[in-house]
Amino acid sequence: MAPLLERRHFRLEGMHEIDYRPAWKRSDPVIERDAEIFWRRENALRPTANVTTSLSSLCAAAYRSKELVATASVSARPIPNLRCTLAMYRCFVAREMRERGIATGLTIFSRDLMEAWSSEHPEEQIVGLGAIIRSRLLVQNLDLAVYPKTKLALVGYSRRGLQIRVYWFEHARISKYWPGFQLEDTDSDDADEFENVIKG
Amino acid sequence: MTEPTLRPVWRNHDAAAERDVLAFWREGRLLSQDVDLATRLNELCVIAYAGNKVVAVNTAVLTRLEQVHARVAMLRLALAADHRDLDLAASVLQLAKDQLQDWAARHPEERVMGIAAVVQTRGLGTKGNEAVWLPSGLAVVGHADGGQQLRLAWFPDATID
Repeated sequence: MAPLLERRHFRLEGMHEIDYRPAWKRSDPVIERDAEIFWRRENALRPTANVTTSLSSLCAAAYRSKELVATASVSARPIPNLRCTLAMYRCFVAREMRERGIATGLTIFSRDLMEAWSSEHPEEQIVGLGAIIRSRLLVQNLDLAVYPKTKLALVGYSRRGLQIRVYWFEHARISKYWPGFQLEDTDSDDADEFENVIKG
Repeated sequence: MTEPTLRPVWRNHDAAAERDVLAFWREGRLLSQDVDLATRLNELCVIAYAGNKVVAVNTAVLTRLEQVHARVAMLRLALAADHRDLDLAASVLQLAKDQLQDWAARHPEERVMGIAAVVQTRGLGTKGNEAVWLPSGLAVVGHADGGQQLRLAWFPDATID
């Protein structure tokens, strides 16, 4: 496995270090146990959520000491207007730990992890990291077209007016053959956001 | 064939360059009957010369790209038939971006945040598959119904509404 996929990043946050751990395709029992406890404690799971599916979407986790304080999840989705498949990214930080840069650190870690994994698994054809920005605080406080640290760049707006951002992997290639597809019903509300996404 | 030389002409109103470009457009039948020549000439951004002959013309139209809620410079590029070369196109686009980025920084009141282009990928070979073109940074942000790519490169510190 490439060194990048094994690396743990340590970042200083106040007086505590944050430990970012890879979770993508690992079925790590410690992270999965901690994530489910964390989500339930934070009321982060929707009533209809399939926890098994959610756990299988885990990309990375952030720990402060032994406590899990944030999770990152990814699901591969075809994006019609971009004619490619992106790893659609979501991040959840414990309420009392927000606005400390943990989401940014976790996003950078997850981005690099997915880029390395994608490069090693070209058969999956995932060419970038995508995100729908749901944080009102982030949108109000940072009006840059390209986020300086995560490099997520604005490509358009969803039907509900939420920003859609993409970080293209270095090896990203767009298919010229895109015969169309049908969105499947999933337990993610990303599906609604992506119908007729990015209207010019 | 010697490499063409590139001349940046954004908002220069260089009479000799304008005369040469008019000849290029005329020869290539690129002017419609109702075209406003003054407006078109004001859009000139980069010209490529092979000796005394114009072989490529790049123009930029400042316009709001509603998809991203921002004002951008929409680029067009016309290449002479015997100079349809991807390296030349890339060089022209890079110089165009450099010029416009510099101009936008000196004219913040214009709020021009990047460059964009609608690209017909036929004839581009594998270049058309690359999600991001370097060094210009033009990245795919969408597709038109006919399959043309819409590409956009944000200027540093570009802001959105």
